[in-house]
Amino acid sequence: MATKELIQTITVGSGGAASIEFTSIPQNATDLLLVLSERHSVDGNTRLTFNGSSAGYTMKRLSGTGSSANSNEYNSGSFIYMEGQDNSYTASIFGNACIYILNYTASTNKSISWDSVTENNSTTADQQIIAGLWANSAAITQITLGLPSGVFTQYSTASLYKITKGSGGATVS
Amino acid sequence: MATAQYTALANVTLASSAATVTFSSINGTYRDLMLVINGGATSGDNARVQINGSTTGYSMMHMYGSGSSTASTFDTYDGVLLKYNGSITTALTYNAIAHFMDYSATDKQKAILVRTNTSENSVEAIANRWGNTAAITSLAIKTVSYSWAAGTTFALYGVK
Repeated sequence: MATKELIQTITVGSGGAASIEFTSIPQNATDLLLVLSERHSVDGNTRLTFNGSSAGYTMKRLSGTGSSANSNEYNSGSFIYMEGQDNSYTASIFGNACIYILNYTASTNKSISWDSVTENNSTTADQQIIAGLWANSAAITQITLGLPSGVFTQYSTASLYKITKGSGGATVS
Repeated sequence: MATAQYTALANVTLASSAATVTFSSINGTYRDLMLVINGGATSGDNARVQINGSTTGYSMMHMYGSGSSTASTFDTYDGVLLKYNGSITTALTYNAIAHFMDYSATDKQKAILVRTNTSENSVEAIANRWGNTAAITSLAIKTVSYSWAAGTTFALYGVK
C-alpha cells in the first residue's frame, strides 16, 4: 500500500452543493489529509463535522487579514470552522485549505491541524491556522463540509487522502 | 509532472511514558522529512527536537493564537521548538507536524517549519533554523521537564 494515497476527489457540479461529504472512509490507514478548493454562493464560514456528529468540537484559531491579526476560540461546539471564500470576494477565485486529521481510527479524541487562505484581490482576505479537536473516541468514517447557508459553488473540489505510518525504527528512552 | 512521493520511514506508539524518542540512521535519499506527533505529556511540558545530538545552533521565529490573544516572538533554544505558548497537556490532544526541508543537503543550513496545535491553549506556527550544514541523520524528540505520555505517537516520513 502506498504511504499517501488518494481516497476520493469530489468536484461540485453545476448548481452547487449544500455540502461535500466523504462516507465509508477506509479504516486501513493512520492519518487523513483533506485538501479543499472552495467558494461559496453566499458569505459565511466552512464547517467540518465527523460521523454526522454535532457535538464535542473545540478549536483555537489564529487569523491575519493583511492589516490585523486575531485569535478566537470555539469550545464544545457543533463543528470546527474557517472563514471561507465568500461570494463577495473577487470573482473566479477559490480559497483553499489543508486539513490534517491524526490517528483517525484510534479510540482516542481526534486532533486536527488546519491551514487555510482566502483571496480577495487588492483588498483584505484571511489567512488562518486552526487547532481543532473532536472529543470523541469513535473512528472517523464520515467527513462533512457544510455551510450556514447557500452552496459550495461549481468547481469547488475536495480531495481526501489517507496516510499510512511505517513500523519500528525508533528508540525510546 | 510527477507528484511528490511520500514514504513511511518509522513509527512508534508509546506503550509507557518516555522522555525521549529517537529516530536514528535516517535514510538520506529523500528531499524532506515530515515528523508527525500526536499525544501528550505526563505533566504540562514543552518539547524540542535535537538534530544529530546537537544542542546548539537553533533559533526560531514564532506566532501563536491563544483563542483570545496573539503574539510573535524570536528566541534561541537547545533544539527545534515544538511548542511555545502554554503546555503540552496530559489530555493526548497535542499534535505537531514538523517539516525538515532539504534535510540531507550539506550545502545549506536547515529550515524546519512546525505547525503545532493544542486545542486547550494554543495554535502555533514556528519557523526554526538549525545553523549547521551537516546532513540530518538522527532526530531526538524530547520533553523538557517530564515525559511523553503513554499512547503518544511519533511517525517519520520521507518526501521526494
